[in-house]
Formats: sequence, structure tokens, C-alpha cells
Amino acid sequence: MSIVSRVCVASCCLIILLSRGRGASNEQRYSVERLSPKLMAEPSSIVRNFTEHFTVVDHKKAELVVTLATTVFKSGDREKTDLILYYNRFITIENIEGAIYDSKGQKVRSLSGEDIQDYSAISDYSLFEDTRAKVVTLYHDVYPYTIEYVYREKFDGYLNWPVWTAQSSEYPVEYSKFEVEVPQTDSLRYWCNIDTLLPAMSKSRDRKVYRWEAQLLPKLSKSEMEEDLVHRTIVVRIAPGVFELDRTTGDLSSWQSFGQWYRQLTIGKDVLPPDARRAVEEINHVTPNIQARITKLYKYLQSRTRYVSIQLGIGGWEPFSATYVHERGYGDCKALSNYMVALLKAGGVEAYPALISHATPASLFVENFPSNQFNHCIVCVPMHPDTLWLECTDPYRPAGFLGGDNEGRAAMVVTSGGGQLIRTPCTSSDDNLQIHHGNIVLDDAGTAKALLVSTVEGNERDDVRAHLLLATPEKRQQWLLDDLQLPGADLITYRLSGLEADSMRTTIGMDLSIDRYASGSAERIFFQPAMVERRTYVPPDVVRRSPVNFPYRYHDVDSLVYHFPPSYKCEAMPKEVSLSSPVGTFSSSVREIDANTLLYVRDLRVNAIALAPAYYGEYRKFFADVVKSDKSKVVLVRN
Amino acid sequence: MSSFRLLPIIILLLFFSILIPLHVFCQAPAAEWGNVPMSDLTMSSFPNDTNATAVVLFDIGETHMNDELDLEFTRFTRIKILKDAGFSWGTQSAILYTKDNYQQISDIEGATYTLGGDGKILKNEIDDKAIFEEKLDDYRTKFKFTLPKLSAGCVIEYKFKIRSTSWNFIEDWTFQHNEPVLWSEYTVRIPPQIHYDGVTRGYEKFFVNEVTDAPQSFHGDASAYVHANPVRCNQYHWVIKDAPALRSEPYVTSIQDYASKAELQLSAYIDRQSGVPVKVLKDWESVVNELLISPRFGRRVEVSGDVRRTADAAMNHVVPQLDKVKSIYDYVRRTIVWNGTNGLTVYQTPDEVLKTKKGSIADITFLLLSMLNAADIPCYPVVLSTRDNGQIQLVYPIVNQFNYVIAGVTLNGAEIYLDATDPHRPYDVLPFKVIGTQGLIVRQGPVQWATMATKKKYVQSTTAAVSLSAEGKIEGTVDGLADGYAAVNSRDDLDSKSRNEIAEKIFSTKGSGLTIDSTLIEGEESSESPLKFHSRVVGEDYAQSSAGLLYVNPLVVNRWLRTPFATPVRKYPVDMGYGSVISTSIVLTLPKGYQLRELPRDQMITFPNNALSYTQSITPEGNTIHLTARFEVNESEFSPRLYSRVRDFYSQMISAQNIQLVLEQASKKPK
Repeated sequence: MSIVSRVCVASCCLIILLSRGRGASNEQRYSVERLSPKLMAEPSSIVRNFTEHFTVVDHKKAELVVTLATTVFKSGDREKTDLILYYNRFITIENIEGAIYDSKGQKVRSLSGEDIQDYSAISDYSLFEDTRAKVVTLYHDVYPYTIEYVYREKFDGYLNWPVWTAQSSEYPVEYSKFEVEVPQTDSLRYWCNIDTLLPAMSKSRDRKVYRWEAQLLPKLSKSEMEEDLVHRTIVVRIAPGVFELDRTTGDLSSWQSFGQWYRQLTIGKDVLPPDARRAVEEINHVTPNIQARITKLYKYLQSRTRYVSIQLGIGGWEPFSATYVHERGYGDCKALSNYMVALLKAGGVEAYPALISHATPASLFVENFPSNQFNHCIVCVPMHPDTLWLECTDPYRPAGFLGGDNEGRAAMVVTSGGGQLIRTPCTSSDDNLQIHHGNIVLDDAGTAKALLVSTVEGNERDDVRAHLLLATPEKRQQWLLDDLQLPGADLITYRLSGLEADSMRTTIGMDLSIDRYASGSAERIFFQPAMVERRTYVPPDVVRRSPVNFPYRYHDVDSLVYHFPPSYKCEAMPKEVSLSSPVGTFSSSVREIDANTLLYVRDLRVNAIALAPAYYGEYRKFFADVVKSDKSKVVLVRN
Repeated sequence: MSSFRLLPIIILLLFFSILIPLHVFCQAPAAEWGNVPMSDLTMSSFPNDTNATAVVLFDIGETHMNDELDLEFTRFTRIKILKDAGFSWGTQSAILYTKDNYQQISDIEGATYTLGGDGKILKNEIDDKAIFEEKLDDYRTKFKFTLPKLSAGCVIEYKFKIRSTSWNFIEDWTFQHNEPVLWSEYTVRIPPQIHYDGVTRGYEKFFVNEVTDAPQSFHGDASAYVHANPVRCNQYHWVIKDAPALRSEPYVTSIQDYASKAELQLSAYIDRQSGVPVKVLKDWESVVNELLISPRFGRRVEVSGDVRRTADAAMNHVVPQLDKVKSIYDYVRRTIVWNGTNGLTVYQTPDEVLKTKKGSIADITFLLLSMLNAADIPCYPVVLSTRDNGQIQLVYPIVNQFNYVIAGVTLNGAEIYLDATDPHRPYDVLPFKVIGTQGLIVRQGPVQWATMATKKKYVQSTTAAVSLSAEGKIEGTVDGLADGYAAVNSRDDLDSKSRNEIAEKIFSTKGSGLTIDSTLIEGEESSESPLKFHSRVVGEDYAQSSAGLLYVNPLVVNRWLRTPFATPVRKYPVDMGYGSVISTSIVLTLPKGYQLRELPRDQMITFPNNALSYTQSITPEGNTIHLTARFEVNESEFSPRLYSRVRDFYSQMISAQNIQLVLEQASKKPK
């Protein structure tokens, strides 16, 4: 199912294409009296005008002029009008103008140089990036008032064009417009989440202008904001066909040609230095089996490299060469993938870099609109029957393990023939299995001595591995205790196995003493049999328009045996529960299997990945019932 | 001066003090570039600290003056990386004050050593491409470099040189890091015409801690300045051996307060041109006096026409002095946005702040002072170091220790301290970041310090009236009152969270099985009065029913579901900043025909000196159950020695709160 069909049509009725009279002065324009009561239904700041005008000059140059005006009604919203503008070698910010208008639309003052600050904006994980930010602030103390910003961004070499979102915050929008101007001879490539919404076309001199407009968009609630905006408002993507970036020329109009451009950046970068070639030859020699050879070459890369983010060259697109990575032992995702492809090539295995949309909801990727929607690079090794995927930035994962952030995602595989878009496979719930076995002895005081053995696989294992593999003994203990969240618990001993890179399964054995696990009165003690997996979160009761995304399918099985003192007998037990829903299945039960011995079994299977909004009610009910079951208690009463 | 009770031992070294020659058996490591002993490479674990992911083998720093009389600092560090988790040591950075070339970095070298399969040592050096510059702002640049070919077991070493044209930019030295350090050494050699005061602090014992004199030859102009050639320079020399790792824990004020350090401050020098002695570092009195005459600081208290008009309008003819203070404070906190900048530097005049309606802490405080002056209210700046910036070293009278300035007001013989950076904080509640810090009062007369004490607590009291159905559904009303820090925290949330979310937070109902349906908040406008909450709550299946019995936890609000102290041991004190009082009163109406089968015991959990206490009691009354509970934190700091008791207190309290009432139908009561 494509994105477009999921967009709720209901919002379309709010959109009226209008031909707004030009020349209205700001005095009239930002007067609060002119505001439609529709927008004032809830107390909130209001976006008065959000206009983006994008002009394509040629294959290299473009210009974006943005007008953003917001009326602020209370002091708590003042800082929400702060403007942060990122720029780099290819995008420069010019002419930031701004002004404060009072409630009548009279100008209070204009922006001055002191209102703009300039910062380095390198991400925390990055060693080098060419990104800086300008932060613009304007405040007033008589409410309501309006802040208007007008700024110009110049593109000198591009690949990414702006994405327009009619309503980009929860605030209601009075008027929003996106205009794109292209040379008369060109036609604009665009995608709108609402199929039926076509741009208005006009001509100005030798230019063609595409226009989208919206007005009177009501405030979005907090729960609506938590959903993907693409299901709540108009989103327009535009993308170049032929483009120039740095010294390169490419064509984005198809995945195939986009891939061709990326391939050209990697040409000649697969040369391995002699010692690397010798190492690969040795592996080839002793490992005739191709599958085993791939694993060995992958481990070779894992053992010699680490991930260091350095965004340089062709706007961060050009990978460092295989020699560079081999000699230094580090690189970013593109460089490490390129090195892996080079190693595999020397090993006689054909492999390709694959640009991927990592960690973003899979449903947001627009497959029928070739454009840069990627943020990561992995390696694709075509094999029979299943293609193998290698994530090269993680030295600790098994060969071929994709990981929750890469699975089910759109990836552009870059071959000699250009780019080819495919979806990476998804794991099944049993691939991500989590089993907890426990033997728990309760004493008269309510103290529990628990022996727990947990086995985790797939993405569940990967999460445990990420927390524990590199952690110090102190941190490991701390994490294990924090993860259990049992007040009064002491970890007496623990054992870990299968944390190493080529293991698909990790086992954690824990010997715990939990003070006051069972609490009670003179006659009774109570305890929650759901000691390990317990859910407490019930999704809110709201109307949902976008799918509920799960990171991956999974299956939890808990089987815990409780022994209690002979001075007690069982008075009450949680009801047996068995649920089935579009989300998955759940069951739980407590049985007396012997004198003073109970067996608690819990089984939760989540089969959904992106659950359609129509099922939201069932999803909510399902987890409400799970929460209810998990918090149920066993009641023991004195004989 | 209560907050100084944990201050590490401080040793002040004075110049020209009696020099005691130390006969050190030099066990210094052979710190020769490129000469890595095989034993360092074969070392595979560090038994003294099994949590170590890397060990600093040596970290050697040296500062001296060169022939241009610039400060020249070199650092040479060698690190054993034991585990992959120690790779972060492979990326190093230094922040330099680069405006007008005040500081320059050069001679960056770095190498990674690994053991080859043939038992030979392989060396990989960094190249220029692996050195990056990031311009942080107009003044500072961050230099970063990363070492190649890291692997568990490798040894890295790096060195670099920093030249500073200003004598103020002398490098301090930190002997302890978050991994063990086997040898940390710092030497500072300065000609006698220039004086620095050195202070050491921390808990680790110094292996070498001496001031000696050492000859140095100068050439060019410098030789005229130092007179003799070679000249006997003053030389500081500090070594700490086998320093343990310093690792942070939750609720620690600033882990840097516990690190062993050497700090230097220019105290006096002979002027190069005039030959006149200049005194830089004197005593706190001169620090105060210099601040008072500084055009960027003390002079800012002058009153302009705009300031006077604004102050008059804000006060609106109120007469009592306290009301004047409150009106001015309220005007500033509500009107001016703090831009997050700390420090004593003033960027704008009060008039400009009134126009731009934003500013640094100093901008805001000087506007406040200026307006108070306009109202003829006695006031003064108070400079301090915020909690995360570390404690003030009293023996070290320099202004750089301070990073924050607030206003002090004398009213009826009492002092009030005002920080106007938060629009929601009443005048008598200090922000968490300054609580317990020492403030230096910037005023004529004898030097005065003041502790930024707070009597305010986190105060919350709640009354709930809920009824339970035979099906286990609970619903009713919850009325709460938040005062002190509880009110400030909730008010800060008003702009970003929904009413129900704020109520959920204040009543701790998240995960309890209760949903907040609606919330009305009273007292949003005046932040001096408590904030009042009126919520409707509902919990489907709140109680568990089984065989005609209902099991229910009557503590529907103010229940701790998680312990903040999961780890069994702790090295540094728990510092909560302020105390708390949370009281709860609940009336639970039972379903028709139900009664309590068994009355739970009253709970009283205590702690020495009543530092913590929790009481809980339940009384049946007709078809209702009355529950009262009270949680108090009366001290804000707990030493590591008391940690296990604190942890146990919370665990006992959580257990007591996890109470279950057993309800039965009246007719079915067994004999």
C-alpha cells in the first residue's frame, strides 16, 4: 500500500485553493482582529503566514525565500518562535529580516544583528561535518504580538530540495503556500501526499510557477502531533532531475540514474592495498565455501575498523577509498560499506552498496518518487535463495543480521546498471524470541529468592547485546537491575553467554534476592506473578489516522515457578487470559501444579509491523488487557 | 558555610615559601615518543580495576615561557586501550581561545601501536587529514583528532603544543579521569618576574608536590626582561601515581568536585614596557573592588530614564518595600527571556535589555539591580559558581571561579536573593542550580559570603475521594496543592504539557492503573500562591476480583512505582538539593455491601535524625476507608555511608505503598 492511499481525505475539505489579493500591507495583515474565530477555538499561537518560494535557476543554483509569521498570545510561547537555520558549504543564508508587530499589526521594531547568533551544529556523534546554524530570536512583552521572519537560502550545488509541510507544528495555520519556479522549458518533479491535490500553474516571464496553498488549518492535538504529519496535513516533495553537486553531475529522475550518480562517486575507490589483498587471498584459499567466506571477510572488516563519522566531499556523499579505511581503521557508513564491497570483490563475491532509509518509519518512504530519502549505507550481497545484507558500522553483529532499524526499509542497491529500489526483509516474531524461565522461592517475610534464565534472540538479543557487550561489570549489574525494575532486588550473581559477535542467541542467568517482593498484612501476602515481562502502558483513547509502527515483530514467553511457605494457602489467583487481535496474541495463566507450587505462564506475540489506523481501537484494547493481566496478583492467606 | 563541609583538602602553595627539597626516587615512566615497552602491549587486563576499559599509562604536561615570553604548553599522553569500549580515548579534542590568535595549537602527533601476528610492534600514525577544526563561536575553536587502527589491546600515544600569547591562559591540570591513571605529572616553569599562584585539590595523595627553582636561558628581548641568563625560574612540579578512576553516579552535584587537580592563576608580574610591578591576584577584597569599578560589571547598576520609568510602571505606586521588590522582580522574570548564557559578562545595557527583552544571566541581573536602584531599594550583585560548575575554592581569590550572578536585596535587616531567569519562579524560591552554593557579595566594605540556602521544599498535598464498584472500577476526584519546588516544576511544564499530563506527573499516577480524565488548574497566574489541581480520575479494572473478593490498593495517588536507587553501592553523596513533604489523604467508598476483611497495619518507616520518614495509616469508617500518608525528606544530602539505609528506606516505603485491601461481601463473612 502506498503512502498516498493512507492519507486521510478528511483534511482536504479544510484546504481551499485561493487567489489571495496581493499588496495587503503587513499592518492589515498581522492585525489580530482579522483572525478567523475558527483559528482561535483553542488558546494557542497561530501561524499567520508560512510561505516558501523556491526558484530553480539552473542545474546547480536555486534559491528559497521563506516567510514565516506567528502570532504569540502568551509568554510561555515566546521562545517557540525562535528560528534555527542550518547551513553548510552548499546552502548559504542571506538576508534574514524580521520584525515584531503589535496586535493591530503596527511594527514595534525590526530585527537587528544582535538578534542573530551563529553556532557550530555538528552532531554529537560526528567528528566532522560542515554544518552550522544561525539562531534568530525576537521577543515582545505585550500580547498578542506577531513575529515575522523573511529569509533567503541560496543553493550552490544541490541534491536535496525542500519538503513543504503545510502545517509543521501543532499551531493552527491561517495561510500557507508553496511556490516553485522553474525555467519554462523544464517541468517540475513533485509528489503530494494527497493525489487529488494538483498545483495551480502560472507563468511569469520565462518561468513556470507551481503553487500549492492551504488556509485555516485548525490546531493539532498532542496525540495528533505524535503521529506522522504526512497523515495530518499536506506534504509536497520536489526533486531535481539533472543536478550538479560539487564537481559532479547526476540525474535524480529515476532510482536507476540516482544510483548511477552514486556509483560514479565510488569508482576507483575499491583498490585494496597489497597487505589487504594478501589477507583476502589467504581467506579465499582456506575458505572455498562462499557463504563462509563472506562471513570471514565481514569479520575481517569488523575486527579492523570502527565507525567514525566524517562528512566530507561532495556534500558528504563521496565515500573514502578502501585504502583510506584499510590504513586508518575507521570510516563512516559509506566508507566502511565501500571497503566491504572491495573486500568481497577481492574474495570473488559480487556485492553492492545500498543506500537505506535507516530508523525512519518504513511507511513514510515514497517509493514512486525518486529522490534522496536515505540517511545510511549498508552492503547488499545477492545470494540464492536469500540476499544477504551487511551492516558495516557495527563490529559486534553476526554476519547478515540486519537489525530492527534496517529491516523492512527501502534501500537503493547501487549496481553497475545504476540504482534499484528494493525493500529489505522483515524478521518474524519467532526470530525475535525472548524466553524467561524462573524458579522463585517466597518466604514468610515476602522475600523472593529467584533464579532467572533468560534467552534472547534476534533484535531482542541485539538490544541486550548493545547494553551489555561493552559495559563494565559495574554497568552490567546496574543495567540488569534497572531493566528488571524490582525495588529491593539485589543481584547476587549473574552469568552471560552468547554476547560475542557471531552468536545469534544470548543467555542471561541471574540469581536474585528481592526483599518484600510479596507484600501484605497479618493474614495475607500478595505478589505479582508477572515478575519479568510486565507492561504498564495503555495507549491513549484517541482517533488515529496513521499506522501504529512497531520496531519489529516479537515473541515473549515467560514461564515462572513459584514456591510459597506451607503456612500459606492460595486464596485468589489471576484469571486465565487468552487474547487474539490484529496486533498479535496474548495468553497468561497461573496454575497450582503441586502443593505450595504455582506455575505462571505468559505468552505475548506481536505480529504487526505497521498496524492500520482502523485497528487502533483493537490495538488499545489488546494492550489494556495485557496491562490488566500483568498487574494481577496472587493472594496467599495464612492457614 | 555548610556547603564547604565536603570540600576536598586544599593546599595553597605560596611563592617564596620555604622550599623543602624532596628526594624523589624517580619511578617516572620512560616517556619517550615511539618507545612503547612490550609489556604495555601484552598487558591484557588491569586487576586493580576490573571496570577499566582503558588505562592512562602516563599523562605528562609541561608549561614554560618561550623566547617571545608566550606560554608554551606541551602534553604527552600514552594510553592502553583494554576493551572496545575504551575507543572513545582514541578521539581527543582541545578548545582554544583563537580570537586574535591568542592561542594556537601545533605539533599534533599521534600513533597507535598494536602487536602483529609475528610478535612485532606495528605503528600507525595520524595524518593531517585526521585533524579537524570546528569554529565554536567568534572566540573559540575546537580542535579534534582521531587515532587510526584502534583495536582492543592497542596502545595509543599523542602529543601537542599550545601557545598562548596571554599570560592568563595558563593550562590547569586534571590528574584524574574516568579511567585509572598510572602516572600524571605536571611541571610549570616561570621566570621570577611573573608570578602564578598554584592550588591543588582532590583526595588523591601527591607523589611529588614541590616548588623548586630551575634555570632557563632566554634569548632576544626576553633575556633583557629576565635580566640574568640563565635565569632561575620558579618551578612547580606535581605527580600523582595510580589515581583511581572517577566515575559519575546519579544525584551527584558535579563529579569534578571530587577530582584531583592543580590550578594556576596569574598573581603578579613586572610590566614589560614600564618595568612597574602589577598585582593581579590579591585577595577577595580586591576581587570585589575590581568588580565594582569594572565597566562591564559594577558600573552597570546606573539608572537611566527608561529604567526608572519601567520600574515606576512595574511598581504601580505600591508602598511596602517588599511589594516593590516583588513587583520589579516579577516584571523582569515575566518580560525578559534568559538566553541560557551564564557568566559575569554583560552584553547589553539595561536599556538594551528592556528593548530586546532577552539576555544573559548578567544582563538580566543588572537590569534587575538597576530597577531596584531606581526604587531606592538597597541591593547588590552576588557572584557564585553553579552546582554543575563546581565549588568555589576560598583560598584562590580569582574571579574566573564564578560563572553566575544574581541580585541580593537587604530588606528589614534580612537578605533576599533574586534570580529572575525563570518566568514561573516566585521571588523567594531559588533555582536548583544555585542551591547550597557560596555567593560572594559584591558591595563596598568587608568581604562577605552568603550561602544560597533554601527553606523551600517540594511540597505537595493531595485529597482524593474515590469510589469503587463491585466490578473493580474506580473513579472520583483528586484535589492537589503544589507549593515550593513542586509548584515551580509544574509551572515550568505548563507551556509544554497538557493539564492532564502535569497532573499525572504531580500525582505520580503513570503506570498505576488510573487515568486522569480532566484537570483544572488554579493559580496559574500568580506564581507566588500554590498551584491547585482538581482532577477527575478513572481506572477500569483497578481492583482485582476473585471468588467474591476484591483486592484493591487504596493508595490511588502519590505512590512510588520505581526506586530511584537501584544500585546497591555508591561512592559519592546523594544530593537532592531540597527537601520534600508529600501528604496524602484518601477516602475510598466501598461498593455496596462490601466490607474490609482485614485491617492492614499502620506503617511508620524512619531514618536517623528524621532525615527521611514515611507514615501510612488506614481506618475504616462506615462504608468508606480513610487512608492518610505522609512522606518527608528533611535533609537534602546523604553520605555514601548512609546510602544502603537510604536505599532500604525507599524499598520499604515502596513495599508499604504496595498495599492490598481485601474486601468481601458483608453477608459472606466467614466465622
